[in-house]
Parts: sequence; C-alpha cells; structure tokens
Amino acid sequence: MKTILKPHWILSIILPFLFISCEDYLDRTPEADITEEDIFGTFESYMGYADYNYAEVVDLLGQYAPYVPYWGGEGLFIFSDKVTAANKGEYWTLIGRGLVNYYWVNNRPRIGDWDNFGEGGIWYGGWRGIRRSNTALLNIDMLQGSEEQKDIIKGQSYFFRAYFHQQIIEGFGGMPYADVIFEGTDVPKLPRLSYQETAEKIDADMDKAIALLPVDWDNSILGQNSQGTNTGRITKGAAMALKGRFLLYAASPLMNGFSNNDFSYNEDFSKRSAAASWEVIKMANEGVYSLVPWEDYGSLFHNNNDGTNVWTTETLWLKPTKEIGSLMWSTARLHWHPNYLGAEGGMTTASQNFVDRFEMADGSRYKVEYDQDNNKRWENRDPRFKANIAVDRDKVGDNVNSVWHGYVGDEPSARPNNQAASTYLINKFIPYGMNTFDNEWRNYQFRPSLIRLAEVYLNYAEAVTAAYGPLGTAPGASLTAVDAINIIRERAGMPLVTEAATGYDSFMDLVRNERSVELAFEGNGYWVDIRRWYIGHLQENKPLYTLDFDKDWTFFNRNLHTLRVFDNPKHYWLPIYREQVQLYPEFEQNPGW
Amino acid sequence: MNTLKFRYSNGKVGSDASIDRWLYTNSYIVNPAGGTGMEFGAPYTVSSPYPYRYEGTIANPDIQWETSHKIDYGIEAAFFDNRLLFTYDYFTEHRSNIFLSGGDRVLPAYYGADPVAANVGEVDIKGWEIETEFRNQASRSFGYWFKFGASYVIDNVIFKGDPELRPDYQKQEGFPMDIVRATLNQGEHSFYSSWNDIYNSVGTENNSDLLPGDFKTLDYNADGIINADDNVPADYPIRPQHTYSPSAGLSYKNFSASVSFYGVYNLSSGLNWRYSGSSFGSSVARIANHYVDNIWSPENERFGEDAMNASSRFSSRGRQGFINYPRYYLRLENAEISYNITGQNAQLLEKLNISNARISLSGNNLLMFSPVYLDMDKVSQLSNVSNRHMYPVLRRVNLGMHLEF
Repeated sequence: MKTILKPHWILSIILPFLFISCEDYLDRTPEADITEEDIFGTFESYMGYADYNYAEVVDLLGQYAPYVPYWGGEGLFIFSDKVTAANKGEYWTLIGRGLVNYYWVNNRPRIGDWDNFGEGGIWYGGWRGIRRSNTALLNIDMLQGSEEQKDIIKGQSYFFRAYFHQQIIEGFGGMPYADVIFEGTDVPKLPRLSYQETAEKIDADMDKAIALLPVDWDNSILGQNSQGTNTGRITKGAAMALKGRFLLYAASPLMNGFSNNDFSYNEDFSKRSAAASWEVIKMANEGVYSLVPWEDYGSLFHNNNDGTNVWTTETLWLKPTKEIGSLMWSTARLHWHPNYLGAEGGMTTASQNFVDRFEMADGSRYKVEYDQDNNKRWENRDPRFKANIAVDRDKVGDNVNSVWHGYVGDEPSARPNNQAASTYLINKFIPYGMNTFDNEWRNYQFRPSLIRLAEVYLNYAEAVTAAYGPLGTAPGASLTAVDAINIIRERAGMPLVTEAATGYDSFMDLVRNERSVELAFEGNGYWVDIRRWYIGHLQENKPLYTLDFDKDWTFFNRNLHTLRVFDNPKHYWLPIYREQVQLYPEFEQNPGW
Repeated sequence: MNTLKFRYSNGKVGSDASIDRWLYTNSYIVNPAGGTGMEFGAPYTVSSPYPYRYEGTIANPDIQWETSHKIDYGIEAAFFDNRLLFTYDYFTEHRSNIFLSGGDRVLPAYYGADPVAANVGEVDIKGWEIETEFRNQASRSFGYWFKFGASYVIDNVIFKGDPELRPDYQKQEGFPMDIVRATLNQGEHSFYSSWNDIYNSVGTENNSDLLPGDFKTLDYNADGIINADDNVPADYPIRPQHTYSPSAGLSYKNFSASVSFYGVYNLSSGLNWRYSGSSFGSSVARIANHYVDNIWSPENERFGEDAMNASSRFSSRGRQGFINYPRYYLRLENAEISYNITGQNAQLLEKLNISNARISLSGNNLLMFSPVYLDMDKVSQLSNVSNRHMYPVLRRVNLGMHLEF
C-alpha cells in the first residue's frame, strides 16, 4: 500500500512558496528595484542617462570607417571585396561586414573607449539615440531639479534627436520623425517623410536646442560644477554650425530633387542655411572661435600625445573620448599607411581624380599635361596638397628609410607590393616621423573633429552663392560668398579669388572645389557631397584613375583603376533592411534596391 | 466485438513555460561596468560626474500565458476475444497567444529599441494516431503477435512575426514550425563546371568566392542575384510528419523471437555532415570516405558531391540547396531470439541453485532502409539538420545469458 502524505505536510511544503511568491517574486524587478523615478528623479542620474547619446555618435573617420566617406571617389581601396564593393555599388554586400560599415553596424557602444568611433552604427544607434532623447525630453517633469538643470537636459536631447535623424537621412533619405516614446504594446506605422519634410522637423528641434544650450559650458551655471569636464558637450555654436550644414544639405539639388522634383538648390533652405552659418561666423568675429594659423594646420587632426585632447580654437565639436594615446596609431596606419612603413592592413590612397582638384600655387587649375612636368605635377601646388598627400620620394620621417615609394616596381616597398593603389599617400592625419623607422608613433594621437570652423565658412559660401549669388550676403551679414572662400584660401596661402571664378564653370563650381580641397579625406562629406550635388551618376565622375610611373620617373601614365558603378537613382540612397520595408507600404524601400 | 468505446475530450491549457519574468515592467541598467560617465574635457579628458545608465527591457503589460485549445476524438475497439485491439485518435490543437521573444518580431527601426516580446504567435496542429495489435496464443506452446502503430502530425503557422509585405514563400506563416529554408540547386548534379560557367551564371552577392565544382544555385525569385531571398522552404519539416512502427513476435516452446521496426517519412533533412568539425576534440576537419570518392573534379563530374574546399567555405556554396531533400527511412530497431532453459536441462540448473536461465541473441540498428548514406547516425541527424558533428551509428549485437539464483 502506498503511503499518502497527510494534508498538513502538503500545506507546510506549499505555504512557504506562497509567501515567497507574494513578497519577493511577483512585484519586483531583478535589477534591484530601479524605477523610472530613480533614473529620472535626480539631475545626476538623468544626465547619466541622457549622456549616453554621446557614446552613440558615429565618427565616420574612425576605426574602419574611412571606407564609408571615401565611397565618393576620394580614395582607392586595396582591400578586396570588403570595400571595393562600395565602388561597385554593391551596398547590400557591405551589410553585415561589421565595422567596415558604420551605416548598418549594430552594437551597444562602449563608454569612453578610445576606439569607440561609433560602433552603435548610424541606423540602429541613431534610432536608439532618438528614443533616448525622446525619453529624456518627455520625462523631464519627473526631475526634481531646477529649471536650469531641466534646460540643460532638454537642450542636449533636442539636439541629439535632430542630430541622429540627420545622420540617418543623409544616408537613407527621408524618414518618419520619431518624437514620442513608443510603448511596449505599440506597433507604429508612420509613413516615410520626404527629405525636406524630415529636415524641417530636424531644424525645429535644432532651434529649440540652440535656445537652451550654453555658448561655453564652463561658464554656464551648471557647467561650473563640472569645470574642465565639459569640453566635448554640444554647445550653442556647434549646434548652430550643424544647423547650417543640415539646412545646406536639405537645400542641395539631390535633396530638393527628391523632395520637390527640382534638382537645383532650394532657395528657402539655402537662405536659412546661410543665416545659421552667419551666426557662427559672428561668434568667430567676436573671438569665440578662430581658424588656426597655417603652421598649426596639423593640430586640427593630431597632436604629439601629451595627454591632451585634439581640440583647437577651430574645433566646434568632436566626439569626446578617453585620453587615447598610442593605440590611435593602429587606427591611422590601418587606413593610410603602407605596410613597409608599419601598417597593419590594407590601405586607402587618393585617386588621381581627387588630387586634380588641388590647384596650382598661383590659383590656376591643374591640367592633365602637367603629369609629365616635374615642376608642376607635384610641385608648386596649393600648399594644402602637401598637407594632405605624400607623393613618391617624399620623406615621411628623418630616418633614411622613411621615404614613401609610389612608383610601380618589383621592390617590396613599391606598388603594388606596398598595398597602395595609387601614388598618393593620404598624409593629412599622419605627421612627420610616424612610422616604423622613426618609431615616433607613440607620440601621436589622432582625432578628427565632427565640425570645424572652416566648414562653416564653406557652408556659408555655398548657401549664399545658391541663394544670393557670389557677391551676396546673408541678411545683415558683412561677408560675401567670395569673402568666405577667401578667408579659407588666405589661411592656406592661396591667391584670393573673385566672383569671376577663373578656370571654373561657375562660382558654385569653385566653391565646391574649395570645399573638397579644404575638407579632403576628413570623412564628413565627400560621399555626401557628390550625392547632394547630384553629380555622382555623371559619366565623368565614374572612372577613377591612378598615375603610374617607374622608379626613375621616365614615364607617367594615367590608368583606369576602377570604373565606379553609380546608377541614378539607385546609388544616391542606401538600401534599407528588407524586413523594415516589408512591414507596411508607407515605409518603402529606396528606389533601385 | 468485445469493446467499442468512443472518446471525446475538449480543453484549454495555459502555459508560461518559455516566458521570462518581469516582461511587464520597464527595466534600466545602471552603471553596467561599475564605471563612470562619458569622457569630456580639454585639454585633458576626464570622466564626467554623471555615471551612465540606459534602458533595459521595455515593458509589455499585456504579456500573458500561452493558450492551447485541444480537441481529441478517439475510438477504441476490441475484437475476437480481445485478440485484435484497435485504437484511433484524431486530434486538433489550436495554440494562440504564443509568446514571441523580441528577436522573433519585426518592429520599425524608429521604435528605437529591440522589439518587445509579445503574445502574438498562433499555430494550428492536427493529426491522427492509430494503433492495432493482434495477439494469439494458438496453442500452449505456440503464440504470436503483430503490432502496428502509425501517427501523422502536421502543424501550420498562422502567425509568427512575419512582416506583412514579405513574400509568401519567405514567411513562416503557412508552413510548419521551424521549417528549414535553403537555396535550391538547378538540378541534383548541377555544378559550375568551369570559370566560363561561373561567369555565365547568375551572380551572388559575393561572387569572388565562387569556384568551379560548386553547386549551381537557382535564382528562385529571378531578380538577377542569388541571395537570401532565394531561400525557399523545404518540402517537409525537420521533424517527421509520419512515423510508423511495425513489430511482431512469436514464441514456440522455449524459443521466442521478436522484431521491431521504426520508420519515418515526410521530413526534410540534410547531407550537411560531410565535414565533421571540431566536436571530436580536434579542429581538423574530417571527411567521410564516402564523400572523398564522390566529389566533383574536372575529370569526374558524374557524382553527387561538390568539389572539396576548406571547411570555412562550404556552408555558403550552394550546398544549402543540396541538403534539404525529402527523406525517409525504415530501421530495424531491434531483433531478438531467446531460449529459456527449462525441462530436463533445468535439473542441471537446480544443482547449481539457478532458478531461471535464459540465453538470448539480440541486435540493435541491424538494418536501415534509406536513400541517405549509411555511415552516420541518421536517427540523430535526421532530427537535427544543423548538427553535422555526429558519431557514426552504433550497430550492436548482444549475446546474453540471464541467470537467476
């Protein structure tokens, strides 16, 4: 016969579970009872929540990312299919290729890591940042704090909501504007907006941000509590400068074309862009910002690793990060340095097409026949030529071996064995002596800015030229587009230009060329530029050339390196994940994909 | 007829077995690395005084248990003095509110977070089971029995998180659960026979990996490129829809014998185990002899195996299309002959104080009827298409003596 448990035994087994269940299990989260009040109740905690947005910022020049901005034809790649796929127009191939492609990568970004240039990715990290901004904005009443404290959080959060939307639409085109907190039960079905519709919403948020952000955090009421730990936070001036950039992009032929079917500059957006950039130039005129002198040009991009941030009077914003040190060298040499000088992987060199954009020192245009002229090919060019590029026989350090070899030959240091696709070594971010032979690389730190003052002048010049002509100004401004261009040229020691734009099709053509030269290889634009100018699909922009020659310089030939695939409209916008465009009809795929 | 019974049952069952707790509350992660705030500052960067935190799970207050509505119709019957037994069951199950984790759902990216888990899945299941048994003790010394059981189960996903506009053949909806999808080959012996052949064929997203001797893949949706969109569902799920198990036995005097078979059909499965990888404790790929004899080479294009490459290449090389064929097998699971030592011989046993003795010869996995090669354990492989690190099947023959003291 079986033994049967008596009822009191059963009860004594079950009852403890019941009590445990009621008190400990059912009503509490495992994360030690962190409630929304804990997160959003105090200023310190609230800031910690909102600040994560800074980690989510993508710096296109970082880590593996230069391949992305160089899609525009600035650079030639030696890596096999990974990045050449971009020049072949095979953007789907790039998805899932990890850090090679910051548009689609999706990681939770690390805080303060030297090599977090944006591992959150533009698409996922951007939307995540937008949600964070919305949460920070819409929970602000939970904060037990002063109005100043609330304004600081709101100002940054409005900025980031705008900034992340902008990052996304630059690659993917117009998007829904997410300005609510989606709940767990929501299944939203917002339609895609046009680029300019999205840009209007972005601009409205930028205005709110600019009104709330301080000019100088250290001098603001709250920033004084954290003196010295504020640089890198978004400021009124940086936000205003970015507003000018965003509006210029929205005004551009591609964006206007896709929004209004008119592939020329939009006048309204151009005017508003010019006005925003003028506000920053006014601040510069008041001494808040200034262009660094020509002899310090390199300090915009790198320093000697004295532990300081790469921050100059010209820097408006850069991605804040931990003190970086020599590890940065591995990033730099991964992209721009040949193996025999100490590189680790493949490298990116400049295309002949792009190098042709650098004028002669006298301000005239470079001509193809100069290829054969030793005094003109690489000498007597715009001073920015040598600041950006090293060419064959250039010394890159004091050591006798520290010479760049760009000729085609059998030696390990010659092309193609040195992994270089062209003879133009991108040297903008690598100072003299940074190589294996000189062994200076420990004394090196590299950090590109996200926006610097020079770009503001160039944005201003382009917007004013589009809206008011070369000799026009923004309302109330004292600076014409010609003046703005000349400020940039003067710093580099180039002859000044006039509205006649000698050697160019138009003054706009000159403005664009100046922009390419000044901001060359910096990652914030050429790929965006050739798209927004609506010139990427033009036949003349498809072939990318190298200049090939022998060790003794007996011949110089231009050879086709890559015939880029750039179809209109397909390659103007990146493909959106398939599963996303399969959700509902109003969230459609970009054309051609 | 001795018995005739009709059964009907109808019930709802709830289950929260696979559902995490706390999904109905928001969670936040505070200072995950025990770390600091963002780095700011110039000339020197330092940690800001605001340690960072971020959103964890987003609450779904509607999370509930899954529901299963089961209906069963059964007949039981017995005939000829209970010598013939028969049962038949037909059942349906409608599962609803199935818990889908965030990873199974697609929400618009502008949601800004990983999709939230929800009870939105729905599946229909139906099937039948039949069991018959005939048992006859013909005389005191001779008896025999036959048994036959069979079952058929088919499930059909009604909703499992598919985006609405996804092409039907790419959806989970309308197919059995966990159906395997793969590209198709253009024919069972279809290879890229040369470089010319590769250049004249539809490209993949990453053509530089193709080599002659690779399987030729079908551009199913005819969009000019072979990619994940060309994956199509296999004919059958990886679990067999049909199983059957005939068995029989007899006893005559002290002898007895039995055989039992087990068979399945209507399942899809792979030939994906050519390379057995590191699970044998070594990272060196091993290749079964069978394949080495049958691989493609320029001189030998008749055989069914693609060219041999490093193992890292193989999974993506059109082989997918080769692996999902309809399968079936019938296995002689067990056979046994035994002899009970009794009668005159038993006197000897008694002297040895042995009360009962039996000698038997039995075998496991003696025979296998299947189109699949016989050098691996099909039972486990057929049930798990992804696992290609199996031990070979064990065929076992036991000679046994059973003594009781």
